[in-house]
Amino acid sequence: MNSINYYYKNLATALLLALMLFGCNGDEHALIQVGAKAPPFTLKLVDGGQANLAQYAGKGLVITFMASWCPCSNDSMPLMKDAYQTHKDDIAFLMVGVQDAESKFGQYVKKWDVPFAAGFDDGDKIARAYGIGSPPTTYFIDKTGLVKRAFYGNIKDKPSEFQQWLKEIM
Amino acid sequence: MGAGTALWGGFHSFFSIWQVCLVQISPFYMAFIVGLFLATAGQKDNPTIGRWVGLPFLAYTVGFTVIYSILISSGLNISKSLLYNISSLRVAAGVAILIAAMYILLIDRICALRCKLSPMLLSALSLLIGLSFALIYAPCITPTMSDIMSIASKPQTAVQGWHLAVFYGIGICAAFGVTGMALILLLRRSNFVMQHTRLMKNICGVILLIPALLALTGTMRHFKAFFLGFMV
Repeated sequence: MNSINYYYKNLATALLLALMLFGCNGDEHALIQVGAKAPPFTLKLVDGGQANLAQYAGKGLVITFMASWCPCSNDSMPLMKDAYQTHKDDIAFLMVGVQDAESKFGQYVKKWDVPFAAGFDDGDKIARAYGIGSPPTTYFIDKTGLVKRAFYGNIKDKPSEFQQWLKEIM
Repeated sequence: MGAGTALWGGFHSFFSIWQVCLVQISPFYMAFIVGLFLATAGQKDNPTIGRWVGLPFLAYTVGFTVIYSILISSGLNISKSLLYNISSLRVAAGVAILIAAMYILLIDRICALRCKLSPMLLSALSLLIGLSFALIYAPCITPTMSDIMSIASKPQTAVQGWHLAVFYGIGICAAFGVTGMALILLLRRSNFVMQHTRLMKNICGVILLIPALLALTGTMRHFKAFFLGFMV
């Protein structure tokens, strides 16, 4: 019984230490919130260019975080491409590769012939600032840089809502 | 959405196309639970499966569900903190998985490990593995998870979403538990396995080293891109 107590005490101490080390600095790095300003970022694009949040000021922006291995990301692409063709004059689209290998994400962009800007988030730094745990996640940002909506999952499952959310940021 | 739907969504994901995402952790969990059994209770003539496998399974469920549900619920402050520090936490998870793998590999070589053996100790190890697997697991978002996340991401409904996420996590673990238990019962019937328990538990230990190394080196993303990518 003593040995059991000993192990549980050690385990509890380790968990407490881990929480103290990693769990107490959340306020210093507040993550994205609906209704708040979108965190700034700079992203190296697959075609060699660069994108940053400031360049999209004055235009609605859809940022979608995807991964080549994710079935939902692949499933979302046709609808995302259609939306881009329909709204490209009013809304900018940006795809960010997360939880992926750079080469595989590059192949994914080629495979889907992505017509809008796409870049690989090296080290998932942008994903961290935007609080992305899993792909696909899509943010809808209005002309003033405010996050109007966040959607987690396959956008194909919500086609009518997607159109509505696009109108909200026009 | 109710708790039952969330529970079923988690359980069902294991036996559906979403296994593609669970492959990030499911083979490693099976290696852990089978390796642990073969290294401990499997050595006994008539082990009490409930105590030696059931208790560790419950501990794993608690560890996995607590962290996984918090990570899903981005409207909670603690979730933001975990998500922001996820890279460091994944390294810590790698260390914990490495300890579990070494335990399975070395238990028959180091007397001190064998002497302290008890279902409670294995439960503590399972709790640690549950916490660690939840940290390294970054799946594709299933339809049920999508609905839960949309509730849990808003500060005003975050707690409600977290409750649903807890049931979703329990559902995933229940599927892991059922499969793990079935695998153990199946392997116990195999003369080859029971005659080569040392070899089999060593194979399990080596398999468990894979996620440990992936988490420690931050290359889990490559495993997903190249291994899971083949299935999509």
